[in-house]
Amino acid sequence: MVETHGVALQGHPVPEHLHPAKRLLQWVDGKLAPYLYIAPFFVLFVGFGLFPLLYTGYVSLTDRDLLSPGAETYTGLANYRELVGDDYFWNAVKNTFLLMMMCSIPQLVLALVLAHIIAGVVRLRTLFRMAVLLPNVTSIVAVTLIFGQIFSRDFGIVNWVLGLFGVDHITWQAGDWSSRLAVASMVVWRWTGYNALIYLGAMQAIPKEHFEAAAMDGAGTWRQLWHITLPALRPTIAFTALVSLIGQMQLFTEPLLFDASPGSVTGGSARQFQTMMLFMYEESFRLGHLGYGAAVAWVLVLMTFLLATIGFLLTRRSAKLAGATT
Amino acid sequence: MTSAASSSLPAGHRHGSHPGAAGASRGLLARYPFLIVVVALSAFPIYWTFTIASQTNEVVGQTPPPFLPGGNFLANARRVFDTIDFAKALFNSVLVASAITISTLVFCSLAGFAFAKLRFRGRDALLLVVIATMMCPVQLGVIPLYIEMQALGWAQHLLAVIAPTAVTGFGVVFMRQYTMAAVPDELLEAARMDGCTTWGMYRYVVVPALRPAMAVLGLLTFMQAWNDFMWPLVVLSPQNPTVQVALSSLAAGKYMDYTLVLAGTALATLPILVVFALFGRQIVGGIMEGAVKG
Amino acid sequence: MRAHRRHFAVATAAVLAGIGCGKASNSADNAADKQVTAQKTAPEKPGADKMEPAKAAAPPPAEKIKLTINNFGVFGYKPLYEEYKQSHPNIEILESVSEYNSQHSNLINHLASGGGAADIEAVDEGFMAQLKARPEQFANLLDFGAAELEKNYPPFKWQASISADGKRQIGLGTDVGGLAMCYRTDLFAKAKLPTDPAEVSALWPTWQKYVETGIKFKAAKTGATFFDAATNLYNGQVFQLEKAYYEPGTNQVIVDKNPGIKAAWDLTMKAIDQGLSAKLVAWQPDWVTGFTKGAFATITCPAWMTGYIKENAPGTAGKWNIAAVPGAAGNWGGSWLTIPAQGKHQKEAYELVAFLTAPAQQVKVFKAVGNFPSAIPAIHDPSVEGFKNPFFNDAPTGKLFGESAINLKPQFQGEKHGPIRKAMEDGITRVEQGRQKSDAAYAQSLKDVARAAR
Repeated sequence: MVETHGVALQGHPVPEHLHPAKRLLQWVDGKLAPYLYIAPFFVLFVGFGLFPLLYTGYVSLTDRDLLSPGAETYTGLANYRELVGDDYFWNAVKNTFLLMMMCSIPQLVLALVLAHIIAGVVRLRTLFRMAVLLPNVTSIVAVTLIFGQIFSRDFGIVNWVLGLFGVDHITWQAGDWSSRLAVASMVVWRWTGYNALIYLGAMQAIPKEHFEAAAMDGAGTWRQLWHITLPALRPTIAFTALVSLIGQMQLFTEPLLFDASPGSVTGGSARQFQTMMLFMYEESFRLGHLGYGAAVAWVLVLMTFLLATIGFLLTRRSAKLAGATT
Repeated sequence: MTSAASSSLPAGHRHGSHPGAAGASRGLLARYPFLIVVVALSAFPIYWTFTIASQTNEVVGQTPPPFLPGGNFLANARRVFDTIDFAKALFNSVLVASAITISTLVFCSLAGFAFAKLRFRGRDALLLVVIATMMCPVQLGVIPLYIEMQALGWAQHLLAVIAPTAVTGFGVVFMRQYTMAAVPDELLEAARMDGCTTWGMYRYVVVPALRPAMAVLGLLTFMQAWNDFMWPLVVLSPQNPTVQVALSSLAAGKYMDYTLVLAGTALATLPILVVFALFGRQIVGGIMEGAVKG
Repeated sequence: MRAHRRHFAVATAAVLAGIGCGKASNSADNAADKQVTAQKTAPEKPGADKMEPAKAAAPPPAEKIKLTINNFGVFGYKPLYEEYKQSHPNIEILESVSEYNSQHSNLINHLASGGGAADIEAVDEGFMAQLKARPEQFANLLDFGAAELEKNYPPFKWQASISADGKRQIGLGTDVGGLAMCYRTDLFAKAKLPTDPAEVSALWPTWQKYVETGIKFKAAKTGATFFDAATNLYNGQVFQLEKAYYEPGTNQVIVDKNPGIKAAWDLTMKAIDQGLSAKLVAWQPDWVTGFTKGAFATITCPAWMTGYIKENAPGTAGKWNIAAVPGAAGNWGGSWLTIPAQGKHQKEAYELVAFLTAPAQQVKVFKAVGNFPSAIPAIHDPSVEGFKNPFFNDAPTGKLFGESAINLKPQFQGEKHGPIRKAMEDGITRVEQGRQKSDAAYAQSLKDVARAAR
């Protein structure tokens, strides 16, 4: 799909008698234009994205202590080797992936359903569009307070409801799955609307005739969702899946806030919800092993890249199989 | 992606029509209640923020805590302004978020257009680089970025907060996505035939078509910039903070003064809600108009 | 250095500078600074005379200097700044107050980056062990004459902020937490235990006796548990050990070999087994509600906890009293003022720090916001020593906390003291949460300790 789009650049043969300034202008507007247009992004990236990346890469090859800048020695791949054999690192990887499954899938499915429904209602559409984004706007302070209350052991709403069914009060931070469920609920709550909004925007591009024709054929909401919205939104879904993947790999704030002990970065008393970013933060800033933390960060980036590539290849293949027009 | 059938109509022209409209009346009854529940769940924390912000501290400590707003909002708001230089923090945040949003909209739509519709050497490879840049976590970069800002002499200046996120990979890919969906090649070819320059295509064909996408991206970007805490905390001087950093001072008391903190939070959320309203109208407006008027 | 001039933002920067950008004063004014330093007549050594505030002979109008000070919580220094400016009209003080975690994470980031820290940074006990292990990041206050202030402080306070070799002092103490035991008189009465503070203190001269009292309390079935969280019981014991996690003055971790730690652990386990713990976690919603609902009868409280209880459970006024903690010594919390080595005005910063932490000022702060003084002369000041807290049935908190702080034997806290302590606490929490049995939790905690210390 990347190859077939495109417009011929201004490269029409130029009459020789044209003023050189004008020829230059044509060249700038034609051949040079794309590079000019993408330049701001790359300039800023090279300026502010590349240096931290390279710096971190360099630090990961040393034994740099957080508060002793300049005193580090080169250790080569020692940090990476240590990482491979580190149980707590793999625990963090496991948690990150588990949470990814528990967050991304519900989030995106819910967002799609939500977008489809909101696009379908006539009244109060703006209200609904804006309301779903409110979780993303709500301050961290309020989110922490409220979810802390909801999942509190003795007086929380969830336990109260469970109590109605005769279930004992759960200490949500304590359990492996209870804590992950709680963290997942925070993430899903926060990001579903964000994705729904993106889908809504993309749905703007679906021509109305498709829905009218389907409606005339007697298709209800769900069939329209499945047969029209879903295929049309495929690239957008792939995009949000990618963004969600990246966000989940870097999950930090929600597990940090959910921990019972304030300021704890171990993700619970037994690291039951410590994600890779929390692990990196713990190693870098609490234990002072900046070199090791940098290695974790780099592995995180590489893993993300790997996953994204796999995902991309999979969607490419499935798109070919489904015969979707690109 | 969107099928060839899309080329006959300008994108986004769905006046009076929506998915599942006709013939879905049986689903209609369930739709509104479902949405109302969603709205309630989404809005509750913010509603609660304003509720507590309008109470007094004694009332807040009760169980159950109050659920209806009280009358104390102005008093708490005044305390916020007395405790910290909130006006300056608000001003800084507005400046920073606006600058980032404008820069994002302009440069991401430009780049998105280039990647989506222009053919040039290295396009695919460069696009991959863009996507790859989305994968770098922020926390990673705090120390080196700070060192860099110091070297540039930008530390403690708002520029240090604006520059790193002025154009993001997310924005570029998002805009590319949308441009590919909403701007038919034929339209651009037609424009070219009429002697339009590349810049002209961007300005007169692409930008109007991108309005809903701009609204969405603008909203999301503004929000993200507004809520950013970690980096401004590190790089700005405490005398020149953005609003989230200033808010953390409110939480600095020995004991959490909930009404004060949440009043500050509520005040900090108001500008976003305004931006919401502004951009929201644009998104809705995007439905009514299309790439080609009429 | 003026790279930003080339940028479009120069206009913005100029505007912002006009609004008071507070840019770190790393201008090329060092020459002028030296001049100021030379001009100032040597002020009387601060703290030499115990109770007089430091007064410097006002120098001829000197170079204006901006001192930035970052702190957290409520230090109550604003009126003190005004006072200081009377005698130092050329010093402008810019204070910034953040939340506890923000303050420290910010400081650490700035130290790690080599720039951006304020001239004076407040550091809490929770982070001091980590920072004093890198004394080169801070100015050595001994160079400025702080040595004669040592006698002003309880030994533990002075030792806690000094480098392992004892040669570099990086902070001057501001306040302490001390440690006492707050208890609910109504619940004690219900359990037929004495309620008078002296009698209650006599109930538990040791932590063993404290747990035994707890068992008696539990048997009385009042509906409340004996204490809020087992980690407090553990920490209370560990605070009082002469040697805790490190061999003093070294980097050697001795957790697994230290009988004191094991004893503290075992006693804690016993208390959990006996059901004495409410299994709450400090500052969680349940814990806060626990105060109002009387979920637990005792809680180890430092001075600042009393204010917290008053703020969050106003309805329990008069139901609390305060007894001595087992061992009558302890400390939880407290801060220091430090001067990062990055600073350009270290001498002026030191003078301000010495002023702010002087005993007379500490008394003023205590009277205004209740922070308990760390300086011995201040602790013995009548208004501090004689202070009785009305919320707590007029308990003599001044005396209680003061004594606990002065009595506390200094304990060396090595670099990774914080994470090691957390590893032990997590083990206790795992047992409380029912995730592991005591032996398994202990073994894992030891592994975590070794990992943290690596």
